[in-house]
Amino acid sequence: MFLRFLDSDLWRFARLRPGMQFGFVVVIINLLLAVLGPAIAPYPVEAPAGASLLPPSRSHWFGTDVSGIDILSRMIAAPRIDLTIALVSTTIAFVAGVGLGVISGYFAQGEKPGRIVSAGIMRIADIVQAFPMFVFALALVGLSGPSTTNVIIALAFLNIPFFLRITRGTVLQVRSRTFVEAAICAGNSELRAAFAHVMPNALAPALVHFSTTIGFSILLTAGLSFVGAGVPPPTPELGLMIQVGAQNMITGHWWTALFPGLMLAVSVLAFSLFGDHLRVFLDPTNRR
Amino acid sequence: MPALLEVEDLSVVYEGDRRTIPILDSISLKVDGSQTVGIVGESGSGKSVLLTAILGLLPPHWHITSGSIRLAGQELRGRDERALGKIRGKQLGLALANPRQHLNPILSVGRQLANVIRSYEPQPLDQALSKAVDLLHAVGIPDPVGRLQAYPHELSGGMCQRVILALAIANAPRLLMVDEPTSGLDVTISVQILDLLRESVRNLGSGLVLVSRDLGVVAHYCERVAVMRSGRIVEEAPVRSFFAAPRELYSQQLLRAAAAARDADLTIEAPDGASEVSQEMAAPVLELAGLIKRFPVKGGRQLTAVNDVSFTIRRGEAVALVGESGSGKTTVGRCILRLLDPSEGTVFFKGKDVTLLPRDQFRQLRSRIQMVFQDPFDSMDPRQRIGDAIAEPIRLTGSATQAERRARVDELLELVGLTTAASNLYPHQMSAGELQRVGIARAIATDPDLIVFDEPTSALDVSVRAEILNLLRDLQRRLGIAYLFISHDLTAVRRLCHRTAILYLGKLVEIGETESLFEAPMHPYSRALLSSVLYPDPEQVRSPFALTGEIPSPIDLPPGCPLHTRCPMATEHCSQVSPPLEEKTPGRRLSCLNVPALSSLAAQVPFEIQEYPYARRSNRLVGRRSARPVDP
Repeated sequence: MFLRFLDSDLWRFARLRPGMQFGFVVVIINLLLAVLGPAIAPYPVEAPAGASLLPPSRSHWFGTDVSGIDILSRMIAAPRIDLTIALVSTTIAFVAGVGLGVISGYFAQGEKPGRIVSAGIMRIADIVQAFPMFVFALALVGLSGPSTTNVIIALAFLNIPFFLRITRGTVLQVRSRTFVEAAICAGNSELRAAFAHVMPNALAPALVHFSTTIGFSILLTAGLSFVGAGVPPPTPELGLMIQVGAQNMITGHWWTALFPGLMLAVSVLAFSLFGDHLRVFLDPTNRR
Repeated sequence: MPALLEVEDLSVVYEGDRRTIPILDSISLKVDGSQTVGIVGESGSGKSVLLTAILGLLPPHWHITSGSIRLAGQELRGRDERALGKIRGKQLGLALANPRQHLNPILSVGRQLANVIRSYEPQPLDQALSKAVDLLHAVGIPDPVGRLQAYPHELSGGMCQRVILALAIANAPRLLMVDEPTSGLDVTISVQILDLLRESVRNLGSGLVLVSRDLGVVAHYCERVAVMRSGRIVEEAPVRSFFAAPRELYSQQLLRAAAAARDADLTIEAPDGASEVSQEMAAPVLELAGLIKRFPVKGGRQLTAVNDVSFTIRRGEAVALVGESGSGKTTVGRCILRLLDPSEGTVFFKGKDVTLLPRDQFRQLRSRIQMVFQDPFDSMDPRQRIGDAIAEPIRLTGSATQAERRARVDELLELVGLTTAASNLYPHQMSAGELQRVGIARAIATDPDLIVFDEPTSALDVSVRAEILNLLRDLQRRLGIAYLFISHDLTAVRRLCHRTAILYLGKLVEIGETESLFEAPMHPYSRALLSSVLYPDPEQVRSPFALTGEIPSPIDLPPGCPLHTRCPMATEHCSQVSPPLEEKTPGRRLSCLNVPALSSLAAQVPFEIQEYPYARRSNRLVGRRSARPVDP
């Protein structure tokens, strides 16, 4: 199987692009950690494993935090919750965004009722995008207390308009191709033509955006945790670790926030690099 | 003295990620002083690559591997960009297809011309602009001073091509290279452009390399011809001897395919309508009554795309709808299929008024009226397998099981000349011709009463075009489906259709039996249109009956006959009264005030024949033609 991979188009493409290799490797590591996570952590992830604020050493590579929990172990466990949030929220945003995007794109230049629906969807997207995300998340938390579900809802809402706009743009292009008219002539209803013929041909950009969005969702999850509207402690989560650690950094305990911060930066970068190169890979006009 | 352009043993390759593909294979070509050389070949034969290689404009990944290119003895290959730039502008002129794309959209026409003039001979802007006016005048642009301020989007395609030509000849180049100068232009405009091209080259005394896939253009405008196929020149000869007796097998095939399109009744019999069609009693499948389609445009004005069109198509009859772009022929087709809602008028399908049928109910009729589209690649869902695409119309009627559908797909594939293995392929795995066969199979899948063909052959190469037309004729005879054949390809129409309707600016100008209409067009527009067709025969004598100027905008059309601005026969009266469509001779209706109705006696000797011979046919053809028994 490994040999097959080496012979694939994807590998031939990635070989000349170190950015993509880097992204690919980090994404895979993140996924592995999300699956194995707590099981391979050397210390418990939610309970003290030594004294408070121990500097990096042989036994605690990245030191311990203010509660005495091993930071490396928490970092190993963190992708499970971070990736779950990112994946679930992005999937919700993808499904809803693509669905609405197909409808609004397909009917944008059609008859009266369809055109109104199409324009309505776009105006609602404008409103959602104009709404400050953090205020929205804080309000949700204020209403029902901090929870993973609230973070997912907030992130999904935030991301729907992006998927919607990307899909709408492609649908507008695909819509003008004659195979859509051919589908109507074959006896398809408008909705059926939109979802059975236009959508499959308009998915690629949204799929690529998926990977990039996961990266940024991890960042936003951490951001929400940082302002206290995210995942409740003591869940091992990068944003939470940075927030707690930031208070200790001032007193010279730099390791508490630095390592989780680095991991966050590297993961976000990797996901967006991977997504970016994937876009080029999937777009036949960018490739020879 | 060296020849003007000498290309010797030129090879070009394309270097891809995976492999290197040879594109041109030791091409040698010579153009003398003021010679015009035509390069013909089907798409993908490397014609355009050859031009770009000569100009030193090959894109990245494309490399010249051997050979030399000499312009008046000077070697061009391997020169740096600066030196090439000087030579290109001063000695080589270039005009390409898609003129609008090659003009800078944010600079006015005058500015673009002035830039080109000034970049080779520095001079004040005023002086360059006055030269630009002369150039625009020389390429036949009316009101050249006013046009200096115009931007490319304000000009029609024909006008843009004239501007491109003006740019190309701005510095009086010694060699002019032209790539498909008339593709995308209408026939009556193309002829004007080609005449202009010939005249400019003569005035400048420069050489011309004309790349085209249209043998007719080459036959009429070139002295020598080079035939290209997969990166090689297979034959090079003087035009006359080439068209009289091509040496190579490939050239012969090419000519035969083109000639087949010309002489309907020689390769295949004339549409055998006489028995079925002349029976006036045959039930009409489709009847259009006063169809009008208007589109709103900016500023509250209206574009009338289709203006009062009425005609009928009877069972098993093939009717052609002919016209230049903007004539509304495609709009008529789209109104019939309810891809557009007509503004006024009635569409009867099998005697039933379907104009006001809600779309949902019209969907029940879809299996009865089908359509075949122009671009076979664009009209196939790229992610749908061929078999599924053909089965889709049947599946949506819900009347067949999956096994029945699969059997039907196999049957249809064989009917259109493909193997049943094709049903598992995706569209991108097929060629354009094969894919158009699939489009036809999809259209006949539900055994419809009427198929609307929207330019089904214009995206295809000559040889494939002939095959598709044969297939369409064959199917029509076997299945008896009525055709509405929308096309600007008059040769195809002549070969396939019983009757022909000619549209101009949304109005029906003439309709009648195809053969008699082609032999003796009566309406001035029909005459001009038919005489603009260039047959691949250098001996063809073209009628002097030409239209002047451009097609007016269909927005806010002035009253009167739509043709009066271009018609050589127009009188004062024509600009006031809109001529009705009247029967002037039996079986022929036209809308012109100046063509007198003929009595039945006079109709036997159509006066057009002597006055405006539309095309002189060679003796060989006449001989064969008269040998055919005449239907009583």
